[in-house]
Amino acid sequence: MSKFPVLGSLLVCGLAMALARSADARPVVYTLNTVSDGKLGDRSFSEAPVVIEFHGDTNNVVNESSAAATVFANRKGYATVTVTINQQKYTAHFKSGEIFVRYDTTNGLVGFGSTISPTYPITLGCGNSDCTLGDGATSNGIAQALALLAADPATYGSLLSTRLKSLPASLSRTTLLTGSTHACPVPYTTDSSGNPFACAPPLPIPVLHTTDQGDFYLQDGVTYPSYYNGNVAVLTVVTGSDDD
Amino acid sequence: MFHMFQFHVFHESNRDSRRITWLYPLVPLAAIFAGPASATTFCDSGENAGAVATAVTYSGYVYTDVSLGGQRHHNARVTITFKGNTGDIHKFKVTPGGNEGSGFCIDQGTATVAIEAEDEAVQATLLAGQVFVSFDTYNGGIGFGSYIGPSGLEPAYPLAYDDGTVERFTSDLSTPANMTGKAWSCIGYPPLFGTGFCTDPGGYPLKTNRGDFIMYMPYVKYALDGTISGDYSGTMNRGGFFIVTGSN
Repeated sequence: MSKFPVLGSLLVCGLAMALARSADARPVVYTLNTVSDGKLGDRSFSEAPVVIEFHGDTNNVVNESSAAATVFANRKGYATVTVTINQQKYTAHFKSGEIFVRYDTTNGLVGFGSTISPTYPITLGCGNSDCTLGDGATSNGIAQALALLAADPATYGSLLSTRLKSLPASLSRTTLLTGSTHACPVPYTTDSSGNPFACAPPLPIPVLHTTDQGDFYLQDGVTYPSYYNGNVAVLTVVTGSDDD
Repeated sequence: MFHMFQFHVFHESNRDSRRITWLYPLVPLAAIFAGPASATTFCDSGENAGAVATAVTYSGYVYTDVSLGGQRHHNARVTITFKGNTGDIHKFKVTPGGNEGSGFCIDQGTATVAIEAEDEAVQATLLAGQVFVSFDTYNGGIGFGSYIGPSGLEPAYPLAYDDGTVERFTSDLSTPANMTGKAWSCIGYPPLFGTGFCTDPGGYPLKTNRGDFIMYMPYVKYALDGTISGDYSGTMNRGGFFIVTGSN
């Protein structure tokens, strides 16, 4: 009999947990496609195709929920942004830790956050000027629809297609999320009804840092970025195994 | 909370009913189109738009379910590309049911489809005479239509967009542009004018050099009566559409 039965049990338990975590760990790529405005290095761009990718591991998805919302994030990995300007593609690698992936499943907000804002450089589904709340309309896109479905399955269960309802609201499983874009380092100005209207940050505009192309920022140039006449985006989550 | 949901359901329905739909279904097609082998197709039945002739490439993407050559792909990135010449852009105007659809279209060119799934990428060339590019300036819709389906003219199949920054586009298909919008792959568009649904595309495959090509629209919102909720709000998918000139 071991002299340290408790310690032995803890070691076995810890080993089992480690193995379990390893078994769950899968590479994951988050990719957001949109059109937006901003600057990369010394190149300003307007209504240019923008792709942000974050490569990580599902093992690093963490729960950052508060009393108000269930929030998941993946902060460990490497990220790139590719902007197509005049048919030339420019890809920049973000400095380590510069951006992270964030999904507020309660409010249906998903995208990339940073030290500038948890919803900047870009988030889908926003419904107020600082993107703390969702748009609350299924027409905004899949991210909003899944949040509304979770909150009120009796109402939305019959309004959404079966295939849509089967999409995981997750950063750890392969899925597809869509929505209108919110891309501003400060809260949008609002119109007379309180709706987000324009992105007008003070100068100098806060920037994100890359290792190879200089500083980067997005500044939504479309006024009144509501769900029906602003830019929209697709965010895909693809894991390294066929879990879908 | 209940009232908020009620409001949004009303709000979305109201948005769809305040405008007529974009594009031009239920047109008396015999008058404008007699099939791909016809000397006059829908697009070239109208006046030439008069754009200075130059190479033009239209491309659009969406993540969705597709089938090519009998192999189905789930949530693949699908990019459709159409290469033509701006000198072939024509105007169109139709008034189905008294509602106007008008704008620009082009069907002289070569269309390809690229499918990127997790572990593979395939590309196919669509056989000539099936696909056109159109922009309904009157109602705000743009994308790839086709001469297939029950009526022989589908403005939003295999892939078209409305809302988003499509609503801000004002050109004639001859100038460079990048835009995003709600993505439709609907035979029978617009649903509010027709049956309320999109027809199963399986019966109307587009022909390619790699077999039949079918695009599905799996992410849909329904109205309370079970039909697709609207010609703008009904699709939950999104994508991008791009025009590049001088680069064929």
